[in-house]
Amino acid sequence: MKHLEKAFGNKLAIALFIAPALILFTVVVPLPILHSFYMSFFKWDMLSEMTYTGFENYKELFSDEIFISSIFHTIEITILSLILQVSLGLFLALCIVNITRGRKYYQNAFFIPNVLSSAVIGILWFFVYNYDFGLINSILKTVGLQSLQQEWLSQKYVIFALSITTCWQWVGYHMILYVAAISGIPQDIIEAAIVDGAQGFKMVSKIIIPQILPVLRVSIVLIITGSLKYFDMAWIMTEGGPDFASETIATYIYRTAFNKLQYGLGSAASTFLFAVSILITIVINKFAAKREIAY
Amino acid sequence: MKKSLRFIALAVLVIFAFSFVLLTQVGEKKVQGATNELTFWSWVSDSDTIKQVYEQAIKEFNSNNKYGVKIKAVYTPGEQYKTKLQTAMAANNPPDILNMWAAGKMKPYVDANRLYPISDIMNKDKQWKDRYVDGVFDLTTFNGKIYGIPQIRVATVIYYNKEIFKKYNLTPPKKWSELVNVIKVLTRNGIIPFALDARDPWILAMYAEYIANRIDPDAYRKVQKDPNAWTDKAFIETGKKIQELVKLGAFPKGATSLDYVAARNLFDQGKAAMYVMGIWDVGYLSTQSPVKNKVGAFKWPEIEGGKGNINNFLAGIEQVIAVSSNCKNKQAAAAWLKLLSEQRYAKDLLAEKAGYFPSVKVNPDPKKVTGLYLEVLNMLKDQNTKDSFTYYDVMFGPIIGDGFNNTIQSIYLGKDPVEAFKKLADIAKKEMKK
Repeated sequence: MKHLEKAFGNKLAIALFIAPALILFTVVVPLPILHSFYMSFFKWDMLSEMTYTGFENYKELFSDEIFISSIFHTIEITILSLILQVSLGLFLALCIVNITRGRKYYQNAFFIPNVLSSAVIGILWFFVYNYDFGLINSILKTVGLQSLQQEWLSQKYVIFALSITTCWQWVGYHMILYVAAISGIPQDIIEAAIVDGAQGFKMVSKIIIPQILPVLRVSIVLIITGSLKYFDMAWIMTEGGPDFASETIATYIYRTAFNKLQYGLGSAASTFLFAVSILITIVINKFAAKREIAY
Repeated sequence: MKKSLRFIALAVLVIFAFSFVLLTQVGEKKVQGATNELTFWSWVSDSDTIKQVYEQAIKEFNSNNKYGVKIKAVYTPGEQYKTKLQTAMAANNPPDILNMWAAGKMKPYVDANRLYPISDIMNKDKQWKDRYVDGVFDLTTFNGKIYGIPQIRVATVIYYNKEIFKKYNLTPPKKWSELVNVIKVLTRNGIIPFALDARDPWILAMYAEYIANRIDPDAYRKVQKDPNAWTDKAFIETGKKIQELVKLGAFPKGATSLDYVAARNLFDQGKAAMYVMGIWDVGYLSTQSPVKNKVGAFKWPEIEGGKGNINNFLAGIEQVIAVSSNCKNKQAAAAWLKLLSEQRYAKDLLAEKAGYFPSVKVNPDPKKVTGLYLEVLNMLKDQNTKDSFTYYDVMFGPIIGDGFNNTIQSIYLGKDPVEAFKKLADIAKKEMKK
């Protein structure tokens, strides 16, 4: 033990131990980002010579209707995901901490979608939304609500349909975060609140939510950053369609770079996405300033 | 104490050194390769019969060839292939022999001098070239040189369920008005006329490409030179015909959430009476499909007042193999490609076993192929090559071609054809100016 203490106190040793991670995060991670930024000033199909075009790609990007609409779709998905996942996650967490029997079972049941791969979930829900034999329309038919049957992946509903699938996938994860946070609230605070007459909604809004705020913030940041790079579900279920109705920034990047061979344009779009992600993270951190809770 | 520190430092350094050595070695090995080994990259998957053809031909070639080389195949099925190939091309480290696309999708590779004109070798070997069906090289020829060898021919036809047609007293339509009538009878009886997967825009585009041809075959030629021709009457009219089909109820409800297999299932289950698809599905439809004994095929009907002939086919080639310009032994690569054109591969395996239509001339044993296969083979003999045309996304490449597919999808969903094609013309103008 003594040897180790001594070793960790030594500056050289510290440097050596940090080196791998340092190299990783100063070279391997930022380099592709910088390279992509650099490529965004060129026109390149990966075969012919790269030609420098200045800000041409950015101009083209922002005059492309599909890209503009992809920004809006991404925002829609982000907002829907926030509303659905935070509220449902919180609701489920509150239910779960209050049940004693079968708590483990419910916890696992909601968490299972999270361990499935997105590809599997995408295909699964692709069938759920199927017009002919899909689960939703079949249920509607059995209960005699044929009039409510819809083409769930049509232009009108596709964003909503995708957000629900994503919610199904991730809500368990956020629920677990909230369960842990709620369980961590000291019992005496709760008891004191009860004595003061806090109950039901009041208890949740005045005591529980403020107490788990740091965890809520983490989960909100995760949902937002996850939604910004929303790709897998949209690509598997709709390929950004029909008629680009579910094109997100990430599917746009993939389509332009790998399907249309416009690497410069794709890089410009990813640089934009990178900038937006950084900006949003900064804003969230600023507005929801850290508030450590000391018990 | 100092000792332990030194030990730790040393250990870390050794690990670093080792990993560097390992990394560089792995890298070098990849770049160098064995000089007597030719790599062949393909996108076929285990379920493709063509993989068997490749595998057997490789085995045969590797066991005795005068070049002293071995061919090593690397299979990367699906979308990944494209990404992998592009990355390798960008790094200027392409495979020696590779699966390629035709026409517009091949052109960038030819323009960048990445492919070897195989006709340089082929022209000295007349017997080899004569094995192929006339015209199969049209889509792989640039500046008079052939850059790739197709393995199979494809074309799109309309399959139909003979039993359903018989039940409602219908015959394969030869004119648009007859087709409209067929659709009306079918919908009246609760049968879906066409099993369509509208999620994948290229499938819907096949309908449009046929309609445009039947209206005016020249439209296809015009847009190859003049991007403004996308707003020609023939295309606008095509858009209107697509919307007419939608209005008639020609397609299943919720077609945008059907994929290839789900759409085909509708035909398999007898819920849909017709199915527009390439002849690559003949094998499946005549051997595996639940309706296998009831499937027939017919040509796309003519449109009254249109200039297109019923014998103009939407046709093309598939499974093109090209030799890269970096190939270490082009003679050997050519010899292997020639081996692939042997009858035992083309006729026995592709035609008789898999139900494909090889690019090599074959006369399959009528007892060994299905009725549908023969029907389609005979139909292809009527082909009027002059006004036949190929898949637009292949012909016009990823920007204009896929743009066309998406245009048709948006029209299917209700967009005004005039507006939609104007947008496509803008895309084409920008692309062709470059």
